[in-house]
Amino acid sequence: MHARYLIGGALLFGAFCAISVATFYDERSVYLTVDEYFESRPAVSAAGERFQIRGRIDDSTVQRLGDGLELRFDLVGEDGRIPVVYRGLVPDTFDLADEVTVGGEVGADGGLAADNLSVQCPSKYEAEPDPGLGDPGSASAERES
Amino acid sequence: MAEIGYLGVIGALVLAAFSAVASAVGAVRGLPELIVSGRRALFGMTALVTSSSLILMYAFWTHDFSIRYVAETSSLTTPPMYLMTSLWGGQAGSLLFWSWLLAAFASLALARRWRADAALAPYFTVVCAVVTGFFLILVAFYANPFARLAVIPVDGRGLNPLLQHPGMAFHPPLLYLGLTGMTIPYAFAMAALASGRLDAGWAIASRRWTLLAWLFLSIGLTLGGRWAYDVLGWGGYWGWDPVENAALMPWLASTAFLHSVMVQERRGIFGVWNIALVILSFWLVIIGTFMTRAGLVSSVHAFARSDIGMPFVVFTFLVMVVSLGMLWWRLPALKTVERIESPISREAMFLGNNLLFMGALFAVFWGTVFPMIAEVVLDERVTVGPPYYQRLVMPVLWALILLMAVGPLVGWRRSDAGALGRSLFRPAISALAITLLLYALGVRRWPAVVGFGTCAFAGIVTVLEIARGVAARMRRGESGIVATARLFHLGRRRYGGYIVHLGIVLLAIGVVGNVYNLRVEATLERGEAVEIGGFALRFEGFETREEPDFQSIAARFQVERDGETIGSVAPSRQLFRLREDQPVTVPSILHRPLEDVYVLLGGFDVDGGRASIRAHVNPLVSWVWIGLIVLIIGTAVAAWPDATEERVLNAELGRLLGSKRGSPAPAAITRASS
Repeated sequence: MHARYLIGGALLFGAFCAISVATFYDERSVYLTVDEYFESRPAVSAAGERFQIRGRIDDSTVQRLGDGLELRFDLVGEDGRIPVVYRGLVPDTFDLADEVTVGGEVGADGGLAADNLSVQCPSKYEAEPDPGLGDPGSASAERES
Repeated sequence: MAEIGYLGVIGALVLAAFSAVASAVGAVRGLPELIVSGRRALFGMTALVTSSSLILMYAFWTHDFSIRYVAETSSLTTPPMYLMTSLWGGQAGSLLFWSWLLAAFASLALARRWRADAALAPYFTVVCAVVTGFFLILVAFYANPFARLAVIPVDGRGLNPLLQHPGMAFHPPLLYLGLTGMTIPYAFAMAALASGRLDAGWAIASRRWTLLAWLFLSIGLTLGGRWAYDVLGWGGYWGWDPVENAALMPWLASTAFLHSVMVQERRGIFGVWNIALVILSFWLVIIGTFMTRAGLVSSVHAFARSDIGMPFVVFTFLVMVVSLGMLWWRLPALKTVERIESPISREAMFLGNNLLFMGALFAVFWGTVFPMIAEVVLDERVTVGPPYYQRLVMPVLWALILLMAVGPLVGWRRSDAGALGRSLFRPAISALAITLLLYALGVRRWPAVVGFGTCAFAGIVTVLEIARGVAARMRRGESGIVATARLFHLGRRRYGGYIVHLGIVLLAIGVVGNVYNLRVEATLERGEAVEIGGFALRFEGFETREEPDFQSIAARFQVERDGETIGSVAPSRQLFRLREDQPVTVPSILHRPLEDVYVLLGGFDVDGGRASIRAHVNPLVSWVWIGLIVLIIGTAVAAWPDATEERVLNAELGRLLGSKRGSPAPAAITRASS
């Protein structure tokens, strides 16, 4: 009797795990740099698929359209560029950033229709180690130990 | 001072090592003196970690910027409340804080009166000392919060603005309490394996600790959601972010354990499974801490940047191997003769409950951990977003809520399917009626129909169960109030559990509300309005405010419904003087019983009088917070000390442990601890 429950439970659990893995492949979004995107292009059926692409912003191409909620710019890598159209609130730090990650679908024209734009890597809770603290105007004093 | 703090950490580490060795040798060789000194060493370790933590807090209080950690996470203008919370505002301090909580938990659990289960105590001490020792090693050698700066800055960098929120004062400590608290049942389980006392004794002895840790974890998770909702400004409270998932996974495993442990107490079966679940919960805590602390979450490339990665890998691996090895070693002795007798039995219901929790856990684990493995092993970077989790976890949630309604009505061993059907018939009809009514009122999207229907059914069944208990007492001549009070007093575990279930139903109703979330983005001039979900948001103008450490620019909007003003919101942008590159966008929320109007300020032009906003209407969000409060009350009822129950449990412990093989508890321990 016990074995029957164990086997039944294991089968159900196994089936659910298989569904999870299949769903993962269905919903996944591939994360690439601009150059990796172009390298893998022949292998990736681009149109209609979701990507997260990281690259540098070409400042000369940045345009804000309409009511300020549409942003167009080129995302560039070493030798390729992807035109991006992003709709939505632009993060505060966009103007200060060189690199961004945009998420969205690639259209038939090769451009990325982005619904997601993140400026920093999400290590948002702690700053990088900063040896001198680089605080301008801070008078320094040698520590006596 | 900093040097004393650091010495305290080193001293605590030495005591932890001594405590572990002395307790282990004492227990194996049967030397009571060693066991007693191992125990005292653990208390000593706790005292030292406590003083080190207090010293660091004092350094924050006195703005001792010669300490790197203080300079990096606070400044002269940091408000006093956040000076104290800066202790866990960064990596090094939060590891020290973690060690402190671990030590405190271990000492409190060890200071209790050990009776028939005293044979578990020395092994319990070993486990707690080893785990705390590991975190102390990280603090001492990898992330020292007492490290000095060569050049003392005049002011610090200030606490990360995102963390300057009241939620941050409570969310991390509560979450940490929950996570570190999971060490206690784990230590009990390992002590049971080590000592060979493999009956339900360890689970009974650790029951209240598990419940307490689970409660803290539940509150911590929800407060984290609240903080994300109030501060991060993406409009929701749960984003299936790896950091959130890291804390959700131990919650799922421990919730499964809280249920299945009842089967072991009652029927003596599921012994192996329960120990496995406790090991899993603890392992998930360590994995989760590793993921979030070692910088593994943002990208595996951050791995090299943080030094604590390697020790964590080793420790995670050791915990897994040692725990499973010990379980394997004791497997023959854990075999039981009792069986599940019928699929319509409480045991089978709990089995189903556990299967569902494990399913949800696998889905979350795969979505969170597989991308990290794929990056290391396959050099492929993939992620999954909320839709993946919603597709998998939502059906599991509905099945769990159904089971939550039916399970408590099913008796142990075997139940009569006909009787069960009869008692569920009327609630099912009522739930159907409610669902049809909602459908007629316009709730037509099927996830909402299924969700509300399931919640209605579970809510009705649970309320009826409580009402039935009260009615039975009232028939014996008690008044309604007395009957209710006595019912909860005498059956606090059962009825406390029902209140927790009701809390979950309320919370789930809030989650279903997500189906109808609305969102709009617009740029408005003064006097213009944007419509969303029957509300109009009219832009009235900007308000600027100067605070000691930041400047705030808010856009004021009037919220109108059917032409009448029902309130106002003022989403703002805060510019912190010390962190100008990190402006904080603060959402403004109008809370209403049936929905929240949530507004976020995007771009703005103060001179031109234009503001870009994103507005959300989120139905039923308040129900999530109300559900949590009900859940807290229920858990408190279930865990409240009960003299009668204590006596019964102790008698039970005595019977279980006294009658089994193994040496009797060393007399010195019983003396020292009672």
